[in-house]
Amino acid sequence: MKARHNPFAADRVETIRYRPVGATFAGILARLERMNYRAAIVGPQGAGKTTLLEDIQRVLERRGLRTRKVFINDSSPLDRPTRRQLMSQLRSDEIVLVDGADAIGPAMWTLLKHRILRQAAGLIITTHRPGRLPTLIDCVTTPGLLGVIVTELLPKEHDIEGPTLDRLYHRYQGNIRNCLRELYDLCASDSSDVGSDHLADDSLSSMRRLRR
Amino acid sequence: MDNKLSIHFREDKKTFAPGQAVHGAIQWSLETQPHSLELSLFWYTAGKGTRDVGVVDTLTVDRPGSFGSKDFSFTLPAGPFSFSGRLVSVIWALELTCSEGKETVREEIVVSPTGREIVLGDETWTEDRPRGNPLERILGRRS
Amino acid sequence: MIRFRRHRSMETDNKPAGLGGKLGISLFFLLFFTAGSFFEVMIVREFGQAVSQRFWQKVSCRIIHSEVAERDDSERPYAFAVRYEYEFGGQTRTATAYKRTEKGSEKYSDAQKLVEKYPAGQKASCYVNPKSTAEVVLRRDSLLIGFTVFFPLIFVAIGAGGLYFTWRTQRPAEARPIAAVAHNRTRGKYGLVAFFAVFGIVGLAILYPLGIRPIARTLDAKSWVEIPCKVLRGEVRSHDSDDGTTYSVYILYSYQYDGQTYKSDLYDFVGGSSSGYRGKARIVAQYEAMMNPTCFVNPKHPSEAVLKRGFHAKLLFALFPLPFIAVGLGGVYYTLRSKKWTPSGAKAWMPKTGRRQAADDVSVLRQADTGPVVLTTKHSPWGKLVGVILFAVIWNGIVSIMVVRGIGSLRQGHFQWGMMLFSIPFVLVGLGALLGVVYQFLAVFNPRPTLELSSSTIPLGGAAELGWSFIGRTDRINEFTVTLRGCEQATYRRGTDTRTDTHTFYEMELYKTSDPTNIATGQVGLVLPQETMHSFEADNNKILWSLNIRGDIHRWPDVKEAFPITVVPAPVAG
Repeated sequence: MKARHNPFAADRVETIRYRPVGATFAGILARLERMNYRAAIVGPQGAGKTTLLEDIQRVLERRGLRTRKVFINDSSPLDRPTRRQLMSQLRSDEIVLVDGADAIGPAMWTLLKHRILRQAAGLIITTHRPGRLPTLIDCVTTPGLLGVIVTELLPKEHDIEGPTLDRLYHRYQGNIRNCLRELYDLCASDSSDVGSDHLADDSLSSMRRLRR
Repeated sequence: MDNKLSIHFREDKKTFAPGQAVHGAIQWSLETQPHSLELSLFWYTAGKGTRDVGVVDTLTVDRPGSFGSKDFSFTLPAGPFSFSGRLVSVIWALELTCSEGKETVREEIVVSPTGREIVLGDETWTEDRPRGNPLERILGRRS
Repeated sequence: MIRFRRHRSMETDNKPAGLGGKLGISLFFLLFFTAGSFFEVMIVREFGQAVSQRFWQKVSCRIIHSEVAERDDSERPYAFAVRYEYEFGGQTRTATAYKRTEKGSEKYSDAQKLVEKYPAGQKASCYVNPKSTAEVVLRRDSLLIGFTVFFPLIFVAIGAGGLYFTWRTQRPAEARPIAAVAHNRTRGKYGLVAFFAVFGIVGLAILYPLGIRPIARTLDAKSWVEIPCKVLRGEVRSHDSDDGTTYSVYILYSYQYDGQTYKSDLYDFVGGSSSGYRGKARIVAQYEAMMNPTCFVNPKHPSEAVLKRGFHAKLLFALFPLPFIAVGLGGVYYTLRSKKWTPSGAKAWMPKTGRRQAADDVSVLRQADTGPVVLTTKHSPWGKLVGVILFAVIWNGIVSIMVVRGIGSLRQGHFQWGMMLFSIPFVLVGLGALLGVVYQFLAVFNPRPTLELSSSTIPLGGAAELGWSFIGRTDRINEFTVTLRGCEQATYRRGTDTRTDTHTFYEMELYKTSDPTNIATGQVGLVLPQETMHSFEADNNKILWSLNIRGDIHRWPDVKEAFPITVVPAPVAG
């Protein structure tokens, strides 16, 4: 299967919007408003924190609020030039979104938080552990959620059995991102030519026969 | 009236060799008059990795009015080729956007010396090589 | 045809949102603008005056009187007092100005230098202002201030830019289609280069006075003559600044050399001041207590003398500018080189070697053979060894704390099972790292291959010749293999980590032998397939080609090296 046609390609996965478990998106937004846009999205890896942050950003901008997003991880650290640029461009009508606040050290976090909360209209972060800001939502995943996402990504004429996805879900301990990456590999490694544009039946068989 | 943007290729040709010229015309019919229209020739990646984009050339039409058409001509670079592997695909396209409005239109093209997208398979070749003058070796072919 | 709908994500802002905020921010930027403009005007004025002095008339003069005069000014007690005579407009006149604005000197030796430069009786040149003939100087103002003209402009630009962007009407942000995202990449590049360049310039500017000059004089002073001297005055001087008060040692002493009496107040070659009063007071008291302390006199310029010569801790200040220079030059270099800032376009996907060889896309199409090249690996064996040692040291350093604590608690009779169990995986990784150090250390002694390829870039469908030779004992290699490999590499950046996947789409064994003669040195021809993908390197997605060699060694780390090569699109016929 060609990379561009793989139903689990990165750009397709990133079109999937956040699906709250045990809550509604409107409820999350209402809570965020009550918290005066100072909140943390908490959850383990692959639980949808970044996706939720992006959805929140979209809604805030549609409502006429300005936002500024900073993405931090091991390959995109919060280096000095980025920090200086952020600090020098803070606006009182802007909500700052920090994706990956865990990667900021405690001392720097204290300084940044203090400055941003003083100068900007709000601060929303994603983090693995609670504590840095009041928790807006604890992102959780379920096997059912994985099933819904896979159904949305797979072509209509195909399906995957529930127990197969359950096994996949538990193998990656609820990390939906890694589950989808495994499904990418399974689609990509079908026994037919890479030149095929469709999902080969034996590829689905591979997915169904996921190792226990 | 619906907003409408479109890209047309001369002789409907959408497959090109590297270095060739891409000729065509854009057409627009919009409810409001935009400040400008922009036609971009670019490649982008799709697959397991984060998307990369490379804009090769751009044609800007200032104050285009609410409807009209304009010819375009771009020269393609040497690469990258349009290709698809297991993890990465590179896709070439032309994209027309306007400064206001909600619509954008994209047309994919193929840039390849073979006339079609290069497909990367899993090719592993090993052979027992006879001793002798290594320079005289010619590589074998997959049976 | 694919049709997309873009979402307008922000309504047009007709209301004056955040006026108070805008005014506050404007005040901030106005301060920058005002301060920058003020200093700019001052510097431009000074520079203008220095330039205008270049049009003054140069006239021959004779120094009548020259000495160091002491003044009441406690900060600059020593002044160069000079009187000179010159002819202008048919009249003989006298003047006393050394420079347009001469403020005196903190140090006796600085004023003394000028006395030696302009001794009484010597002929010199002075400069007369033709527009105001009463204005005469011995030395014109330096034009070096011109170099600082641009510095305040940075603050002016920040201020003006900030005001502009604060008040300009913002167009609504829109979700962008694919191509438009890439257009914005290069905006920050040159700003970042300028930022790092300032670091580098500041570092270089302070390197000479803080580092090069003191060290050069220290080395020169090794040959200076030891002479007894007499302390005339000793004190600890204080210097007030915004950061607080600092202190410096000041000792004025006199000495005899070649029948002449000289004075100097140079204590050491570094100078400057620092916090800590007591240590300096001790030094001053020490010298005042001595009858005839020793000073060191420059035999070439006897007016130059110093009390403390030789290398001492203060000379470590020479290291101070180095981090600035390193950050500045390194930042400029990596910013300009970084693909992150490369304007997206025709060359953004080409690997480095391919980009260097081809000046433009057309020449990539025309030529591919660019001459033989010696291939290099990404990481040398020593580099790998250093890397694995660093990892092992850091990891085991941290793990050892846990282990030592655990052993300590065991000795005290309250063994912490939980902590010890928790630390087991970390200890295992640490042990693995140590084994890795041993493995990599042994690998350093492996025979080292040198590969030469007949061309630094090979076109698809093209041929090349690969030659190899080894340094070291190749008789230990049982089997030697050369493989051509093509890989896709995809990096996914989302969430808190970055994951890179690699898949080999092409692998061709080019050569395999157990013959020691052919292992030690040999050649093989290779032909690249036609219908496959050339080398491609973007930020997150790559197609990488490499020549891989492997030498199996019994009971020893194998020789395993990968040499990246650049495969280019086939040249255009004709």
